[in-house]
Amino acid sequence: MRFKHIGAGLVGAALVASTSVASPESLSIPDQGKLLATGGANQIEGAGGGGLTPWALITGYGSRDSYGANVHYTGVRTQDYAIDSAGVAIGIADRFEVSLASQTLRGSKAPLAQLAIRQDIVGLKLKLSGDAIIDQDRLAPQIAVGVQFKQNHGVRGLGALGITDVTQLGAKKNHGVDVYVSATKLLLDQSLLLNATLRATKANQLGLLGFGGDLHDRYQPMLETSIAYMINRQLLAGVEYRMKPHNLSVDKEKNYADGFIAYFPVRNFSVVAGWVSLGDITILNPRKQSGWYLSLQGGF
Amino acid sequence: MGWRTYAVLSTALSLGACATDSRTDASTDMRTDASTGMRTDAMYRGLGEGSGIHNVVETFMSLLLADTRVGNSFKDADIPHLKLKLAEQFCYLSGGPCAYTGKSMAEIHDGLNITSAQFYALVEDLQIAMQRNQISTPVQNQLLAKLAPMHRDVVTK
Repeated sequence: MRFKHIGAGLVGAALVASTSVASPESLSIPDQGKLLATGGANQIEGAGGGGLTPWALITGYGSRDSYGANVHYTGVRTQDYAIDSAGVAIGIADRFEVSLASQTLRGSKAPLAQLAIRQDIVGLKLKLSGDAIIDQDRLAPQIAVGVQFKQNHGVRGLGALGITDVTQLGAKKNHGVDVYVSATKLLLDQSLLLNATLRATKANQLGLLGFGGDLHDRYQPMLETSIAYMINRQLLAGVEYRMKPHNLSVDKEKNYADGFIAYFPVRNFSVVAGWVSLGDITILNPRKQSGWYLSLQGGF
Repeated sequence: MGWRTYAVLSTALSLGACATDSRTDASTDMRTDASTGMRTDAMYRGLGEGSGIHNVVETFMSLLLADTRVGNSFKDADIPHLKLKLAEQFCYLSGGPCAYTGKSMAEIHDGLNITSAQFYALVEDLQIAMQRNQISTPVQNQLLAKLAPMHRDVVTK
């Protein structure tokens, strides 16, 4: 599978990049050497970013000479569903990022009242060029590429319908790989942070409903955008939009959107609270889903 | 308004905002108004002009000297001279009626082995100093936008 090779290539390139910018002894001490908020939050799949979408920023507060790491919990509550995600992420030399997250979707309304689907996500991200903070006199954004390896662990709570795996809902596979490129531009002059991420994906509802489907089974490019305004050095308010494929006839998948406030009181803790719109999820429940979003991060 | 409309709008906004950034050019170090091309002192006024900048520099230096992350870097420095040059630089960068008469950033920091972490510790102290002197966040960020590219000359380690 070709995207697996990209992942392996990313790791190799990152190791070369890390050793060329920082000596091993300096890397042994976490320096928390980045400005507040510039490690970002952890997005819904665990990568450093906003709420729904990864940013080109590398997670954590380790400078180019060091490393940073964090743990996070993210919860989404809509009328009839809950998504919970927890994970860890490491940023090395402000260049390379590894994230692990476990995500669960639960239903609360019949016939999906017992629904529970879990997936695990391994994310890698490599900063390619630019620096969002330093390059205030240049047009070019900070650019990073990333992959997210996703493994769906099956469907619980639909035993009555005989469904135990996402492939029975029409998905072609229960695992998949997303590949993305992110561009983040911080316009300090206007107190604005802009991000655009282009993702190639087959994932249905982030992968919670599997990968590929009866309607489409090919990689499609999806645009994800974020705009955030810096209210002060500890507080950002923003909106995001994430386009998604529509591969399954049993799920008229919609694009996601959110509005959030992110508070970074100190480097060791941050909270993102917001409102999120997910659209309707599966033809078994046509109601448009929206509700609150909360993400907590602790780390260095 | 549908979310699809919003998506198009936000993308267009992203691209548009990037395009307007082209007027920021470090080589001129001078704030010019995008529409008229005239030099403007709005940021200088936002900093409280000469006395405002003086107060920010006073607070900034006391924070810096107490900051264990960077404090040692200034142990041999001539503090009154440093304050003078900082005030001059902030005045000049913000479009005020000053000329910067100090050495270049590269000259000053050559051989000092300043790390990226120290640079950002200093930036944070400046942010706190401006906050304590009631400088608005947009003006704070405008000054930081002028200072951030100096990372390339200051951080040599």
